[in-house]
Amino acid sequence: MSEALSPPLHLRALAASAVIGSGRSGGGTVTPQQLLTQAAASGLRARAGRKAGVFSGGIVLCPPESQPVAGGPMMATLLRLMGDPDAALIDEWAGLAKAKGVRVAEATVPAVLDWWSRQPHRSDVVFEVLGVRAGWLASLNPAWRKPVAGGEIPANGDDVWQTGTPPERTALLTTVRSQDPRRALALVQATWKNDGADERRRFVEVLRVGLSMDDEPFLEAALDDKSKLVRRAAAESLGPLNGSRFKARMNERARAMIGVTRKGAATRITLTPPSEIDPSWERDDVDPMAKTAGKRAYWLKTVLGAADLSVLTDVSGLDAAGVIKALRDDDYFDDALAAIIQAVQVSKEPAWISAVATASLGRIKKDTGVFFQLFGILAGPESEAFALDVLGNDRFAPEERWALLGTLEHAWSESFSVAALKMLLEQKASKNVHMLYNLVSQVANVVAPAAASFFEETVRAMFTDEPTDSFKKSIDRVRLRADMHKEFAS
Amino acid sequence: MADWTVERVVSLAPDAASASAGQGLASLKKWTGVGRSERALWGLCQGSGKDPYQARVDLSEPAFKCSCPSRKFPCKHGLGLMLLFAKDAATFKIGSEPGWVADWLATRSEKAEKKAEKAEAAADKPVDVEAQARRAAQREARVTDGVASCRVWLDDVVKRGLAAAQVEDSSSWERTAARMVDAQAPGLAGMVRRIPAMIASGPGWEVRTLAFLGRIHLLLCAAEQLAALPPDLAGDVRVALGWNQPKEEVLAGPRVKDRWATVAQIVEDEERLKVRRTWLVGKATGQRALILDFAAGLAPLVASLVAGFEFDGEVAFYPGRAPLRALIAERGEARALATELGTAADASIEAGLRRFAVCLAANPWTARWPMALAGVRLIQDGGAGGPWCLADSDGAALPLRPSFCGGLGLWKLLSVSGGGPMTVLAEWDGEYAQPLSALTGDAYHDVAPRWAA
Repeated sequence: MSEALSPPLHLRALAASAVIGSGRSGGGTVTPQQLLTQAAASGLRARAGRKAGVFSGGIVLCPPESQPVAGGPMMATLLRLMGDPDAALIDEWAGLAKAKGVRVAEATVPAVLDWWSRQPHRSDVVFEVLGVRAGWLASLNPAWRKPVAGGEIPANGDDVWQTGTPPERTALLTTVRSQDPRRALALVQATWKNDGADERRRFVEVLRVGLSMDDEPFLEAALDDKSKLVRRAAAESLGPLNGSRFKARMNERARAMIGVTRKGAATRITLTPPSEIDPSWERDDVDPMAKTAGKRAYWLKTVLGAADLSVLTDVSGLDAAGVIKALRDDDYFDDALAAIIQAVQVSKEPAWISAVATASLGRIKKDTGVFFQLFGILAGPESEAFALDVLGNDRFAPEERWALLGTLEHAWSESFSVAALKMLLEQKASKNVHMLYNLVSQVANVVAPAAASFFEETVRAMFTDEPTDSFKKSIDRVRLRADMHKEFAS
Repeated sequence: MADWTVERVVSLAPDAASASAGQGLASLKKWTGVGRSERALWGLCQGSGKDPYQARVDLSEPAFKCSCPSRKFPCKHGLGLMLLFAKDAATFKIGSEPGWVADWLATRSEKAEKKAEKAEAAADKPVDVEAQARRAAQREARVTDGVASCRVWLDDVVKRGLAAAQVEDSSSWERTAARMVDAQAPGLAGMVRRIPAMIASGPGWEVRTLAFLGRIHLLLCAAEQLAALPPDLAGDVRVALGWNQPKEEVLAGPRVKDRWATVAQIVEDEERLKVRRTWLVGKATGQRALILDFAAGLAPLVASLVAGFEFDGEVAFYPGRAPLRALIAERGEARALATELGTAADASIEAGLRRFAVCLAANPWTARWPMALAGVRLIQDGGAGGPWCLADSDGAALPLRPSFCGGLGLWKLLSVSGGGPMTVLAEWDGEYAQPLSALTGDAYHDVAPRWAA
């Protein structure tokens, strides 16, 4: 053995000849066994004599946490959820933890953070309950350092805007818009001429947050964009913007369609959409070539839906309920109601909401879509009261009732849960098991945990025998939620 | 009674599906008639059968028994019951054991007694020396043949060169390994099976591979003159060949009494075999011990040995100059591991390396050594983006196995330590450290794969 070389160096020299093969390395003086004996000795010496490395640099310590760790049962539930991660349940857990002021135990933070970073919709509350160390760990792991909207505007924001990928730019714009709307508008304008149609459309959509008259000139100009997608996005942004030129034009067009006749105390509103439209309407995204059959109805719906609701009250001198009543006999009533519901979704005026809700209940047949829209407008308790009215209406089949309930995505109150489930309990279950399953599993996400037993009873009542396993899963889910809430309450 | 936490109970599960199913059953609503005594837990769980399943747990081991038809062990009912206990022990009122629990416990005690009697009887029984010698001679002849054929193969590999080995079809290694299994030298087979991974290990592969072939060569040399070796060295050679002494003989040998801490556990797949390595550290003697468990195919591993506990008991080592592999001979009640290993830990990286060197000097075939490094922290050598290392307060560092850094284990270690010092139990193979668990101020954390992939 060459004593002059350190064991690792000697080993390297041996390896060089071993690669070629002892049979082939020059001269053939070394037998395989000799080579192996030398390798064994050198290898062992290198292995035993290995010194610890000397390192440079280090890592920043994790800042101290300010909140206590969630207790055993709560963490046990989270561990169980992580076994088969379900975003809705994990969000609910995080919401409860945040309310209680506790955080995820250190050992579980990486698993949750890793799962979270791969979600299409990352909920802020989950990140929050991971504590201070979530941000600290993300600063050390490039895979967790993906563009996240919200938070601080990065110092190199302008560079990101000029050179970033589309998702990075969108994330940056969202962040900037939430903190400095004017700067966001300036960013969009700076690169507008060179951005693709798809990006332009997305940016217009991002600008809908914090929309003000400051944005109006830009959006008005975007109505002349060469891309239809961008024009449409601009029109949709301008619709809700009070005081915009777009709105004024729509109000003007709407006013021209409304006629009022008075006979004694009774007032009637008649709607007369034009039989042909001015080319200037097209610029505001009113399609002149719309379906030939219902062209006029379509124009009416589009214009009335984008106009101020006050046009109707001003012209007629009636309040919201009065307007609906006066419209009732008109040929275009269904279209008008749909347009008004569209406008209500933007204005959210309580008088109008209750007027269209009442009108919808009495009028529209089998068109559950309207109710879905209305549920979307109403706030939690209001939508619950309205939903009970809808559910109590015997016009609906059981599966339609379930379908309506499935659209109420807020966390249900206990009293509503019980009342709604009671109504369903009285119904025979639908034959369409697959649809019913989807709806039952949707309701399982929002039903009040306190009504868990009643939910189970209702689902069991759909079956003469044992519920199938897929339905049992929904029962288990509600039970799990109930346990979870109990754990956080104690 | 041991402190059962949810994580510890989950680690008893035979696979991830059972762990998840068990967690689904850890709700009081799923159970009727739950109760406990000093020794056992029990409860009834309605399954898909007509009668509810009777689940019972003997906490002293723990051992499980359930009337369900599942072939998994422990089944989800047993796990669910124990998880419920871990989550909320107050739910279980102390009561008298129902007949079906008491009977089972009695049968268990009886079996244990019988086993002990049998062992005693076996020890007393005059050994059929002739038969034993015949069996030993048979095996020796087979191993000798295997060693000889391995020698021919190894010489050939080196003669043709490692470059040729690099393009070798992977099945040729497997053929050689299978021959070693037939020759009753599974240890040798395991070494051969590791070669393809070394050849594919990237820069420096040829040095790594040659050193490893050297190690095999050394083992063959020793095996060729086994009869001439001192008995303890022969013992090490036998363990390396995988030619183990019968358990009874090992248990009949000298034992080491201590408070043993089960500091780490890892399960790996090896050729249709699940292999579990459990590392013990004797808190008074500082001695390290390796308990190996095997399970073929879908069969579960013995559930009773859990990491993160300590017990007073006796360990019997397989004879050798640097004994590491061992059997648990006697085990008292398990308690949650106190978070300090004290003098049993390696006070510095240098101290840990020295222990390893001493072990290698006595037994050059030691593949992995358990470092129990106190006061180490994680760092990135050279700053952000650099390789992750374990560093001590003396400024020494050990590199971490790259595959470990690609998993969540690294991040779990970081999260529990917050970047500060902790005690890390890591397997050291002479090149990389693979952390298996950590002790921080207040808790034990498992970072090794719980179930074989």
